[in-house]
Amino acid sequence: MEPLPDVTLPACGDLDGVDAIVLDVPLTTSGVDNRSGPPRRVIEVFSAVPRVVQVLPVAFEADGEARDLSGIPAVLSPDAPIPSDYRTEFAQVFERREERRVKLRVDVQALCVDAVPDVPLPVWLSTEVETIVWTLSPGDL
Amino acid sequence: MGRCAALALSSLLAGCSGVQLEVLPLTELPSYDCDDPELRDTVAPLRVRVSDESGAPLRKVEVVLAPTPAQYVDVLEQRSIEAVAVPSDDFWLPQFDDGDVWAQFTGSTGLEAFGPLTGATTDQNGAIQLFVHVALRDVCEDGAQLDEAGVDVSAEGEAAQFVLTYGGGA
Repeated sequence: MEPLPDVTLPACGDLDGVDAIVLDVPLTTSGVDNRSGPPRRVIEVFSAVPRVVQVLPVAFEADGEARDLSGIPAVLSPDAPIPSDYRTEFAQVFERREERRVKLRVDVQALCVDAVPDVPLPVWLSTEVETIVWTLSPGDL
Repeated sequence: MGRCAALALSSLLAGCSGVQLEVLPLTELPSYDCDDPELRDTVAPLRVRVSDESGAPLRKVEVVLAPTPAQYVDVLEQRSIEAVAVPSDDFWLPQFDDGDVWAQFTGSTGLEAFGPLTGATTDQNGAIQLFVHVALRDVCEDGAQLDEAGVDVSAEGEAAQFVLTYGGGA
């Protein structure tokens, strides 16, 4: 599995009035284990800091202004329609989908007010045979 | 530095035995705050793969797992990790009907029912897929300080470490 490019999030001062940032990351074929062997059916996605970074259903749709964030398509959404009391930290994304994606929600309140991180926020991506760490760097680090 | 000692610095170990032992590299997590009422334990995937010199998976290999510090770190099966029930509303249910799986962990475990593991056997991919649970709430209740948690992994004479650090410490 090839590493995904690390992401630098906007600085907290640039996020006034924003509740959440949604990262919509395509997992291309080259980003998935393609060594010989049995078919790799599942990619597992784990947030190591679920209070700040949550894994979203692929079908999740957010309203708001689309932006490009460090080369990764992203959406800023003040009205993300996700239950605030349900913080997903684990997802299995099945390779049978033609378009494999992972969507992450970054809680701006938790990021900028409640628990300002002092290191980049890791996300683990795992296939049946391999796991990599992908990091999101808060802009204020 | 001898050949084997130099190799031990890598997370991908191909030691003198020719067996390769792959574990997740060190992961830095943000510092935790014992005064935070929402403080949660850490749950991390522990994935280990054992292969031969050519990269072919080694099946049915015994892997020894030694958590450290043992009083706060456990290795668990997935069935031991308790998940919050999914909200039964129109938003979430279609996601599950679609066949994909999402979960929020409660931070509680089924330790009493299943117990922590000290070893496992590789599957058909030469892999083991388990979880590491770091009891941060117990750390805080004890007034202790935990900068680093991990699991010493060994198999077929090779050894590696899965390590989590908090705030880049340790």
